[in-house]
Amino acid sequence: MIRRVRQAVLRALLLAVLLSGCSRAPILIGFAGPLSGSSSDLGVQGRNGATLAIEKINAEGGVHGRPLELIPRDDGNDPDTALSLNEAFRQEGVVAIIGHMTSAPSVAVATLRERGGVPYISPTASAPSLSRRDDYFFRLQGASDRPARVLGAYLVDHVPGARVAVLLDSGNLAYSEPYGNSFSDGIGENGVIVYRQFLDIAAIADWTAVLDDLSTLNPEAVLIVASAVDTARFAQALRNAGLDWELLGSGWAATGTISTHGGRAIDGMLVARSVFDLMESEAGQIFRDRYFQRFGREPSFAAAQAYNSVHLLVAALDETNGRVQGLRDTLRTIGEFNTLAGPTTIDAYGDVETVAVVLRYESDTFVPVYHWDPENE
Amino acid sequence: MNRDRSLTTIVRASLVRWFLVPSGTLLLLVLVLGLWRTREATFQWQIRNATWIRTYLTTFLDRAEHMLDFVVVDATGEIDYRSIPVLSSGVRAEDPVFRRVMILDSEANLVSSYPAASGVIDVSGIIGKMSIGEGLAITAPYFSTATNRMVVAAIRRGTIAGYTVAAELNLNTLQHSITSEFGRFEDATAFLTDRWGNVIAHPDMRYVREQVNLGALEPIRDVGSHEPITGLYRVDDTLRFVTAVRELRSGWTVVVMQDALVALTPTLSVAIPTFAFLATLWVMALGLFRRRLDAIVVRPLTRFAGEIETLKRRSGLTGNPPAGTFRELETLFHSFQEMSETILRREGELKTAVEENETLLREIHHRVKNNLNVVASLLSLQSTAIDSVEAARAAFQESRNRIFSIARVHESLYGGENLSAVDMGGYIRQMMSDLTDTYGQRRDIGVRVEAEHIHVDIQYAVPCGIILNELVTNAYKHAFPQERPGEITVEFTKPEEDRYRLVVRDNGVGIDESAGDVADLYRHNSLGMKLIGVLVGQISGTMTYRVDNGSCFAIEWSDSEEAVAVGAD
Repeated sequence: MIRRVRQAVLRALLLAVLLSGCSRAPILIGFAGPLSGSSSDLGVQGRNGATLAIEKINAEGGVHGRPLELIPRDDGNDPDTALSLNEAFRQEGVVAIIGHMTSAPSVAVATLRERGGVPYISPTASAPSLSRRDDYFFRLQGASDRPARVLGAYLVDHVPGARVAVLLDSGNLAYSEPYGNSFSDGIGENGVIVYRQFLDIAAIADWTAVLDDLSTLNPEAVLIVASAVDTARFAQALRNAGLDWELLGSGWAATGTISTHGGRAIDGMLVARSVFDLMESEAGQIFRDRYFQRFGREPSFAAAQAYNSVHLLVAALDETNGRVQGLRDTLRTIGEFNTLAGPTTIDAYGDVETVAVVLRYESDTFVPVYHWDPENE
Repeated sequence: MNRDRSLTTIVRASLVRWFLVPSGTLLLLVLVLGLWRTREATFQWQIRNATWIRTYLTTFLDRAEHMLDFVVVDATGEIDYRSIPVLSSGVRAEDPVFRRVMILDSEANLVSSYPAASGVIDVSGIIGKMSIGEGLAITAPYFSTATNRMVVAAIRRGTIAGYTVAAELNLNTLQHSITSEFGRFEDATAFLTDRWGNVIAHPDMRYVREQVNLGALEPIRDVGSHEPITGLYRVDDTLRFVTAVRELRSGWTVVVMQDALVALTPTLSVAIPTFAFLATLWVMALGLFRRRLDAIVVRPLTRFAGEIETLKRRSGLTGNPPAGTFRELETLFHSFQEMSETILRREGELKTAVEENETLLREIHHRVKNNLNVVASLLSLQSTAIDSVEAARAAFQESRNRIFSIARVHESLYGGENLSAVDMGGYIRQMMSDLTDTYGQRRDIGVRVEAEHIHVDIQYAVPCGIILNELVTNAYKHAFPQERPGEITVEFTKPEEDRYRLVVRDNGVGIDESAGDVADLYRHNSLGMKLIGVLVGQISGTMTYRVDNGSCFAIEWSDSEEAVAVGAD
């Protein structure tokens, strides 16, 4: 009798060990964003925000007892790299990918047919072309066309008949081109676009030639649609050249990095974003503190959105028991979910509601100066 | 102990439990101890080298500060020509400290730089937010568009009012120095992070380029001002020994990492083959030992156990002890053999004894029935002589004595060793003692018994007892009238095999000789004499009587003659 009991206990222990081994296998989550180069502020902040979310979820027991593991990869803000990463992630067995952070790689993978059923949740990609597509691409950032339009309208409201120069980064055409177009729509007939050029902005070391060209046109404002680092470099060049044109930037540049690199040169710069008060809530403040304690720097909206993206993914994984099967459909039907700013709704196309806020850089921070009201549209 | 387990199972389990497990555990302990010592040695080595790197880092930063102290600018913020040699040494030397040195105005705008560059500066915003004291201030790592890489700036307030000297540190120099020091140890990696784990310098440039954060590693996060922290951690899916020390001026953490498996390889490469060799040796030794044990102990004992099983079939142990076994087992085998024979013999004896007892019991019941018949006959005889109350009282007394004589026979039987035969010596003495007590008022009559310990079967003992009772009672009653003193003598002998002789003699007045022969005595005298006649006939005996200075009765019988019970079937 005792022998039987002993054998039964040993078998149960062995089974428990085997099962515990199975249940502890981590759920792999990919992260794709620009981790190097001039656009790395979005990628690094996004990766850090996702890391913080995963560390918190793992500390709370993971998803159905399984820990999450983030596999970060650098997409170099490059569509081709994004496509090869998609294949690499599939082979690594990730259930979902947090990313991409910028529009050009996002558009590349969103139109990809062979994605292996692995959904993407982008924290920050805001290209309008990604909206209302029945695909595997979900995002937490509203489309950038409305903020761009609102920024243009805000400019000509305050500088009627403004002559505006527009510099668009050819390295992220999926974002910069529609942004430029929407901005022009916002200006409409109340201003004039005197210069509109696609440039490989990250490659420009010396802005003298560009500024010389612009000076001949004597614009009153200049919009640069580029990363934070590149926008900051342009701002410094502009101010060093003694030019006091109104400086406008895109939501892409509105990260903490621009203040690091821009210094006083970006004082007064206007940007428009589809989100603003991500970290104003109590949860947001806690996130901000934890992020600083963990990484030694302030979180940007990219970090907050990546944090939110992981929580959206985990809410869906909770329903699919941590499996990729059915994950896309769950994400499509999940509807309302919690973010640092409070409950947010994601629709069946994987898009969130778009708002627009115009911000001005003052005293080392972006301050909202105009909230777009849909009723005034 | 589990009795269901066979000897083989017990031997094997015992070998595992008492030999294999302890020796395996001991080996394992030695292995663990070896690994532990290697681990400690690895940590000591890591601490030594991390401390060396920290010292180097402090020296590097001292050098940077010292060079920046030599930077002199003019009133417009341009770098004075006298500073150029120092800056050139700092930027262009074989192991440059700086990538570039910048002079910033009070608004953190770039005024001049060495080497000369366009007016773009990456640290402008950082400096604006930094509180810079008298010493060297170190920025967080950031991406430099000027050099298209991650950099850290060292900042020092200029000696000329309003200007700040900032320099991008050449982290490559740091990393190269560290790497060259560690190049000798291919399995070790040394790198720098800030206090939050953001990688500043790493031999794998990807870590720096992608601004990898390793703050989740406890040593990096928890390392204090002085004491190094060591531990075993999983990094990039590999277990690694990690040591971290903090450099105080920069707040940076020096981390030394080694793949645990690689670090333990020297120990493992010796320990594992040794372990495997010894384990194989042990297993082989155990196998041989077990085989030998099987041959000389287990199999013989198993056979022995099988032999013992035959005891159950009453056939005893047969044959010789198993060959090739040991002396003790042979002794045991022989002992069991003898024991089994004894047991079987004793079993036969016991069986016979039981059968005898059963027969005896049956016989006893038979005798009891016969004796009761005797009693009934006695009472019947007695009843014919009762014609008054005194006669009845006397009759009861006589009957009591007669029954008592029978009871004494049974008492002798259950008090003795043999249940079927009575020790007549003891019986007669007891009877005489009883009768002496009965006739206690005749203390002038002596009693003498001459009887040996002769055993007589119960079928003769009862009649003999009653006869004795009658003769002695008669002697007491009639041989010594008017308080005449005298003596009664009882003799019991075995004159020849199968023949017994009871003599009751007194020196009293004797019986009237006119009574004639014995048959007449039976016929004409008292009831007692009639009873004696009946009983003598019952045991097929003879009685003689003679007068010789008193009366002398002698009864003889042979137990080869079948006794006839009164009223017996």
